[in-house]
Amino acid sequence: MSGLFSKFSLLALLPVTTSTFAADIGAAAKQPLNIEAIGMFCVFVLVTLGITYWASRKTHTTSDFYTAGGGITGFQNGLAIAGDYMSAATLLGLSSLIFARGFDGIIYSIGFFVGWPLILFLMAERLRNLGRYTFADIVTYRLDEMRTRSLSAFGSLSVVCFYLIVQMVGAGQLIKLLFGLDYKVAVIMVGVLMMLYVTFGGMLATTWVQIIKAVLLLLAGTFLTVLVFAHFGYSLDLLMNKAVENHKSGINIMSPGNLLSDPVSAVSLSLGLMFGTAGLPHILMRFFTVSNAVEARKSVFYATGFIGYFFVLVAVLGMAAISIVGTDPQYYEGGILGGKMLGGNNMVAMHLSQALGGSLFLGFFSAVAFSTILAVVSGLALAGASSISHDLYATLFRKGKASESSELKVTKISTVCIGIVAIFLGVAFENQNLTFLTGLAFGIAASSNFPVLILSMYWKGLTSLGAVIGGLVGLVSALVLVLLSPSVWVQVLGNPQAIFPYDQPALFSMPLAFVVIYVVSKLDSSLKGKAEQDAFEDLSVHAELGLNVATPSAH
Amino acid sequence: MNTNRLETIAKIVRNEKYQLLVRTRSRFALKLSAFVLVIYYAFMMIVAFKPALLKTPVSDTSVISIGFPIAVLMFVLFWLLTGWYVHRSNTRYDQMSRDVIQEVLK
Repeated sequence: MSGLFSKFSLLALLPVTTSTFAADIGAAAKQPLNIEAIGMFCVFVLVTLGITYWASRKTHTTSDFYTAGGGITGFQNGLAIAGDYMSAATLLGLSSLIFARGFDGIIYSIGFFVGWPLILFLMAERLRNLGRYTFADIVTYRLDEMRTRSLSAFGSLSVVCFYLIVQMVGAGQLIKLLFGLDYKVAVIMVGVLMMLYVTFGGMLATTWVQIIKAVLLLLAGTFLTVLVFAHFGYSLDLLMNKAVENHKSGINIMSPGNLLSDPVSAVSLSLGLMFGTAGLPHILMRFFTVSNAVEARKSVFYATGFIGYFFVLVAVLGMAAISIVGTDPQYYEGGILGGKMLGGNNMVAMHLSQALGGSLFLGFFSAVAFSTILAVVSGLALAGASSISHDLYATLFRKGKASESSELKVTKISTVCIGIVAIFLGVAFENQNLTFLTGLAFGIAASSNFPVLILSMYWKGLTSLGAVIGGLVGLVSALVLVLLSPSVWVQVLGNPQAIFPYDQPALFSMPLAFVVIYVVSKLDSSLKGKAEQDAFEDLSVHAELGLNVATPSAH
Repeated sequence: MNTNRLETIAKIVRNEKYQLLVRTRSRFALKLSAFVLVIYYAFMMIVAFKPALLKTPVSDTSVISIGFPIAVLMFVLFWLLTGWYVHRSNTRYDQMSRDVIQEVLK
């Protein structure tokens, strides 16, 4: 059981966030103050605050705030999407997984990647052509404003909330480790910086924070990979040979091991990753920042290229670390090779940067990792605040009659509230294992947000009733399945046996949502439902031709 | 919805060029999506049921298994597909869509 168990928990660790750190680093000791890292991080903060000041002078309207006025280019947006997606977990978690498991880690990275081409082929243009500020705009294009917008806002906010907690806790742990700062200080710092970026600079500042972070991460990764190749005399063969020689599994790291020997978990995880990505509000929101469908398409092309390139770098780093970090006792607690790694098992890339680039490069690399977290939490906070002010306040509460300035005020207040709540929850959950929250965020995104969104764009037969009931069924089933899974039922609640054996709910909750949406829509014979189906042609024409992007709902 | 808008929509939907655009573009997008999914899940099934297939070394003198180049190839292939889609959309489909708008709305 314990072998099986560790396999499951490893599976659960990965979905894109820093949850890995929370799980692994929890008990890690605070490191000595790292002056180089703090210095370089201060430079990053100063530059980004400068950008926020510049952005605040250009942010006057709600459109500026939510979407940077739609003036981001495809290339910039591609970098920003990559910046949003390449979290600290993909850098640290994935390289550590490859370090520990070899080829199995590579299989994961493909799962993280494969959703992007699908988002381009099926969604990118339509999102741009139909949406304005939030993805709820698209869902409510022809459906009942009150009910479906509440559902979408609820779906967005739950995803943002769960994801944000995981990120905050991960941030605190990581900073404690890399910079030697106190956990609480670290969480408060992240929360305050996030509030500053978003409240004053809106989408424009958030976008630039993400772009700068993506560029830094790609540069740092490339530089480290060059150092790696230089270390091995520019021979990939030698690198791999040394890895096989020094890994306890030997030649087996070259082929699939037991990580994915359970096909149900593997498929469920990959479905959750693929379609969960397509239902994350902060990712969807990025498509509204470009001016038209051409730029929306280009952004995915660039983002996919950067993300793919980055994953290949991470694979090289992970394999190289086996013979460089894995054979050096100074990176292990008490100098015991193969024991507990200094700072936790996710520190492989960090130790590699120190081994090859010295402490100055380690400082730079740490600063990049921190900026990565800041960029991701800012995107999340912005998506959450938009959902509160645009969906809940302006559209539902004020029935679309809110003035620009009052909507803007509500957004800023929401951002501050989200920031404060995030700081409190981050501090409260310091020593909790939050792995399940990641599964939950992705599960809800894939089983509620995604089915409703994709069917509203593609299926004429969809009615509000079907969307609301099916969306709720998806949301609740994802929630319940995660609750009954090993990661909550056993690890958090301490029961001996999980009722539902898989940590990833998507394989079950997503098809369930689709079926319920379909059946209820079919059974819905109301006049209202009929009118919504008739309005599909209008939606479809706008989606195909992108006639007038700024036209709000057809009601 | 006002009648003017309804009429315009109906006119576009009846337009043959519009129908052709919708048909060809959705077919292209679906084909590419299916291709990506089939390749990815075929790979996952090999991983789950026939992992030994990926164990073969790339050459007699190397320890590197063919799994690695296959993985890199998937990254590159999927990225190239996004490039293909963007290129075809920017040239062929956008032109078709401009033609429709010209014909109907002018």
